[in-house]
Amino acid sequence: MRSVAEFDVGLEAARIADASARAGVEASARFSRSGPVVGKAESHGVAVSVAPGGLLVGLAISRSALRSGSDALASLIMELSGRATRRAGDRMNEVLSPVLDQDQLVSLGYERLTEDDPDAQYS
Amino acid sequence: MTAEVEQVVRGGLDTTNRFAAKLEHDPGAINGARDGHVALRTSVGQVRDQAGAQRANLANSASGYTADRAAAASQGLEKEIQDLLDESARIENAVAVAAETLHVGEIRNDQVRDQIVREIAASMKALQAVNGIQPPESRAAAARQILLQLQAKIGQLTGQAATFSEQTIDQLTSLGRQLGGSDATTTSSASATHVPQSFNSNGAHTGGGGDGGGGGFVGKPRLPVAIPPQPGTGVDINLPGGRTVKAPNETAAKAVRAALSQLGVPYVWGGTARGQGLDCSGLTMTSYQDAGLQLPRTARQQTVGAEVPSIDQLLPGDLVVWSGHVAMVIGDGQMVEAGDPVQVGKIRTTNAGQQFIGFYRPTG
Repeated sequence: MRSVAEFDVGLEAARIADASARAGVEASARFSRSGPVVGKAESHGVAVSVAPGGLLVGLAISRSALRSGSDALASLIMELSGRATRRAGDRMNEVLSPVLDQDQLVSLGYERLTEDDPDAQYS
Repeated sequence: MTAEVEQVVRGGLDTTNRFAAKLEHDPGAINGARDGHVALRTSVGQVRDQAGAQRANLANSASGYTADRAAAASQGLEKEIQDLLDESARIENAVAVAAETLHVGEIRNDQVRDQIVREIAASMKALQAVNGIQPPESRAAAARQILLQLQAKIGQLTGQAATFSEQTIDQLTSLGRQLGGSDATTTSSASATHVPQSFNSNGAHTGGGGDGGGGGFVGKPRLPVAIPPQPGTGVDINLPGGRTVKAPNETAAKAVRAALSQLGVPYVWGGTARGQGLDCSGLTMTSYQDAGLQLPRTARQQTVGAEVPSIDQLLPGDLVVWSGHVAMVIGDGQMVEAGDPVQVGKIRTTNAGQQFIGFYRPTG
């Protein structure tokens, strides 16, 4: 058992900085291999792209989708951006899982989608 | 980067460090006080021996009224010195308890600090890892979330540290009250001052700690010593292995049978649902409840009834208590405990670095 006096904040901080720097290098290498992580969802002439976390980065609405009425279109966009966000989280989890703990990833909303999940990418 | 991390670490550890700093001074003072008492006792003991020797000389070499009176006075002096010695031993032991309480507080404080350091380390890694997120707004949002979660966790953990330090200080305060209320300076009192049994027997218990952390005890209560079973008493219990053992009474036997009926039940923290989920003290509490005896809820509070002075005197139904765990002796050198699941194992006194407190017979 380490005693109170022996605890060295400087050393501990250096160790943490070192470990996190390594995590940073590893993560950026994995990001450069994977390309930018974006979640996409498309349905009934509407296509949505979001960044991890849910920020909308792309939206395309076809002429035919406009004909479905504003209420239906609004709810479709909401549904698709939710799906795209979950997909982005799934991709983030895939990219970062060798670098960070699952708990940490899940707490950031980066959760794996199971194959039978209706939002899973290629179901 | 390192400087910033250091700042985070220092900030996160503020509460635990302040408590640690407080502790750093106190054990020194307390150990000093204990050593001082030991020295005093030794020197007073020498005085007593000298007085005794002189009295013997006087009785041998002289006779008559004056010599008798001198011998009587010397005897009175020896008695007073003995009282003083007893009193000193009591204070010395209480000081030892105080030192141990501080030590336990220190270990728990260290554990919380380690946990905080781990949380900071994980969050710093995450901060670096999410650097690769595009666009920057999303990266910033992720970073903000990591820091907010870290802040919440540190708050929770330092809350824990504050609770631990409060408990330690409470225990010390109550020890102080016990000493202060006992008229500690009186040496001429007619009744001899007894050293509490639980202090005396502690030495035997601490020998069991095999993990370098030492044994010791957490706020050990003063209880009577359990008596061995008398001829013609005892209630049979059949153990799962086929052997039959004798519990000291019907309540203990029922409690053991009730505990054994829970074998295989999963461990659930805080669980008291028999057949569904139990934690360690939940198993012992509900089993004694079935037998008609109410025990306190937590492991550390289940130091009730009588204290069993040594491992070879354990009987079925006795409790083995650590600072954060409890198990029930079933006999034949075995005990039942709520690990995951509830299971039977050999009796032991070590438990993953926890402080072993003692053996207790709730029905004693």
